[in-house]
Amino acid sequence: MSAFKINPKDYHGVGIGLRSAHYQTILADRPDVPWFEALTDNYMNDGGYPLHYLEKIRAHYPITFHGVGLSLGGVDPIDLTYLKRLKALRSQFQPIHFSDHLCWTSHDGRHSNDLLPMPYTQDAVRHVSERIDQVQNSLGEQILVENVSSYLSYTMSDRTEAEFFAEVAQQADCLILCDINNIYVSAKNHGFDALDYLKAMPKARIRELHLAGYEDQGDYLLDTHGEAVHEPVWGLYERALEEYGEIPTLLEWDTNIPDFSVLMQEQSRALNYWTKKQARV
Amino acid sequence: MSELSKLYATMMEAIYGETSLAASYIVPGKVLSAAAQLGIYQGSVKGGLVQALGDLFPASKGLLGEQFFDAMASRYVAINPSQSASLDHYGETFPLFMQRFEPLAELPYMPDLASLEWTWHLAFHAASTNAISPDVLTGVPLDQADQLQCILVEPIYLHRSDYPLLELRALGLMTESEVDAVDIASGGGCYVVFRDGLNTQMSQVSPPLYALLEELKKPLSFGTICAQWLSKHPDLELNVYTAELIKRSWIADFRAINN
Repeated sequence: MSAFKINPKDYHGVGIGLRSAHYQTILADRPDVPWFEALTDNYMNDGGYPLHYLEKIRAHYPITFHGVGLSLGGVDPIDLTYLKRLKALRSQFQPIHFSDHLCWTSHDGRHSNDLLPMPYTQDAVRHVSERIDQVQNSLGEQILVENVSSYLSYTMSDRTEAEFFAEVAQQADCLILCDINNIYVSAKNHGFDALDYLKAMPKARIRELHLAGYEDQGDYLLDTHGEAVHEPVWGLYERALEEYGEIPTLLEWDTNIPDFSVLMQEQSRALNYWTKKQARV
Repeated sequence: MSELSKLYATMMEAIYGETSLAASYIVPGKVLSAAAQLGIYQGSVKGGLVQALGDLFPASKGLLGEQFFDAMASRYVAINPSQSASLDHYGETFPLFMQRFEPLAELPYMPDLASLEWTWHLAFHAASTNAISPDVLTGVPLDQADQLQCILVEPIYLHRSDYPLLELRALGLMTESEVDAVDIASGGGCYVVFRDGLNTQMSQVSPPLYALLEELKKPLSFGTICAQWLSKHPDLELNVYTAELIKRSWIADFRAINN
């Protein structure tokens, strides 16, 4: 599978997740953001407001595509209608790349519309790798696969999530979107060391990092993308930049969406870690 | 059935219903039991769908209040799992569910309002077509109406109700401060949901115009539709209503019928 064609000048620094609440601000102010990430599932319809604004914004900014609906780890057949629509969107908007998650979301026609963790077994490695390969063959390029945050683990799992991820990436020959917040949330919920996870990931395949905020529920951390990035996640991000190098990073904020200026402040903070790293080199 | 398939079937069953079987697949945590861990996903999935319904039916939620609406939506979610990767497809049968929902029996206008909200949602995301231009319209050979089909713009949805839906919607959304009560006995009307550019709109129209729109949705010649409409409205001037369709930019084209 050939790697996707990224123009480095289009894909660097810290991008921001595109949300409808910010369409007007982005078009009016043209903020200094190197790229935006569009959630493909929000643009799967035939027309209307979201597609109109995506077109307008795409005219000024590079975009990446990020999905939640392929159910890569599921056992129902890959939804070919969804894939066809994705291909049409990709053809229309020419994103830098497409990513989805290492998880399952549907079974036997029922959808959770949530990212459900897979068991970490040899069978599951083979199964999900074949499905990622199917999607990559259909799209004609490598995709990025993201780690999800999780609140449970299965008795049948016989390896760590990071080991599982590395095996899948190798077998499917896919690339990795490493979500720093998700690592932290899962590490806290399951009691593993987030740094061990960072180190176990196959560095050469990592193409993007994600940052977001979680919610502390007392007994566990909930990945809500509804708050600013928390301090321990910034700390882990700094370590990730040291471990992986300067990987393009995305700031996500999906619920309780604030004014765009707040996201710009978060972006600025993320870029400070790049500057700090460069100063050390 | 593979182990993976068995696990997913049990998990999905648990997410939408019982937890007992799925718990045996889950490693109990130091703080949270297997059932509690599963409960996080149950809450997240069901909560996400309830929230999606609230976003799709905002006026209904506004009129019923968050507590009642969310409780009703939870009942709907429990028996209507999502069947699509996109939440934009979820809730089509919610108005029908509301019609059969016993606690709503005293509020018979609610299913109609919800149905109107669903079509607003469909129109919002639909591909749109432009209205016919004056130049093209001038050249349409209306003397050959039997050989022409009149095409309405897309999207355009029609609703007839015994209740004043626009006032109810305004009250539910609280977008018009002067609407602080609605007289249900004031009667209903004929409603059209359409798009003006990117703006999704709703409009109340006269019964004769509504009847003409209903006819124009059928795959019949313009001549036949005009004749049928005139037979039902012998005292009215058809030109008045076709002119209104043009003025409202609801006609997209006149196309020759291929025999």
